[in-house]
Amino acid sequence: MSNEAAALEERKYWRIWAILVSLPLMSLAAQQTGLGWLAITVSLVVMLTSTWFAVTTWMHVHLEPRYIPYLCIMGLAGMFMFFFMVSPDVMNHEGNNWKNPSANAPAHIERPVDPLKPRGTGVEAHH
Amino acid sequence: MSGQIIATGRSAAGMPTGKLAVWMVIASEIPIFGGILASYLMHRIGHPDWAQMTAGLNVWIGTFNTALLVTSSLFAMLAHAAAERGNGPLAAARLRLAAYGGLVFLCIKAYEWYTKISHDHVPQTGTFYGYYFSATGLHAIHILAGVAILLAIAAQAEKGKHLGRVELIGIYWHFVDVVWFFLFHIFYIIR
Repeated sequence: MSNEAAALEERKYWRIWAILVSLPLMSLAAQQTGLGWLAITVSLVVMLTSTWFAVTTWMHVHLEPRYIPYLCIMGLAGMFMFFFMVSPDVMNHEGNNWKNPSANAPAHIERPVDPLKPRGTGVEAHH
Repeated sequence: MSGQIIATGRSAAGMPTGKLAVWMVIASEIPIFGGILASYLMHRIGHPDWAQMTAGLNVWIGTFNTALLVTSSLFAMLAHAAAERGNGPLAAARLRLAAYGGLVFLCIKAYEWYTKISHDHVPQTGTFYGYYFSATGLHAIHILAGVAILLAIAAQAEKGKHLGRVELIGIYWHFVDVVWFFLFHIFYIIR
């Protein structure tokens, strides 16, 4: 690689660095507005964009053999499988042939709650 | 046999053995960090009251740490570029800068932990702090390991040895950076 080509390549890395530093600042600005939905939306976009930039331009995943991205996608698939298999048990208080009585414990005990329902003591559920 | 044979590449894999190992480590780390974050998110959705605890985290320190880690990753990338040109001493200097970035990150994280613990916010305080300390602690262990490897490879690169390893630690270091993007947004930004 010639010196000019190398300098050009390094300038590209600095540009990506500038993007990756400014993206979290956008998230910070969104959070400081106090609008929860805006912070969540911007965070999701920034998380995915930053990851895309880092993985493609710094880790050069597209230059690796095709099975490498597949290997990483399999890891992600495992994570999603875990999430969708476990989350119903964590976020619901009862299901087919099971109940989670501790979820209806008094309010001072930290417990999972249904964000769509108003919070109570949990005692009403038994009556 | 007089010489020791060390496998550095495999034709079936289509890449150097070390690089394949790094990618396998990364692929196995994805469900570990992803599992913690997914588990945290499902609990977070069920606990709107955790917003008070996330508000206690210093978002400015988190943002500074993000910029620091991205800068550290940049130096790892620049070290790779120098190694590709065969410039070992320059690659070593840049790897050391990347390692120092990681060390400063750890010092700031230790300060954050110290302030939390001094206010009796420990993993036993509640599930939120359990997740916070587990996720950031696991990430900090990865940073610590990365710093040690960066310095070890820098020492080799300085002598012009094993320049191919500069790229390998770079890939790992960028991955640690990517994990932090998620930790930063999920713990510090989304309240």
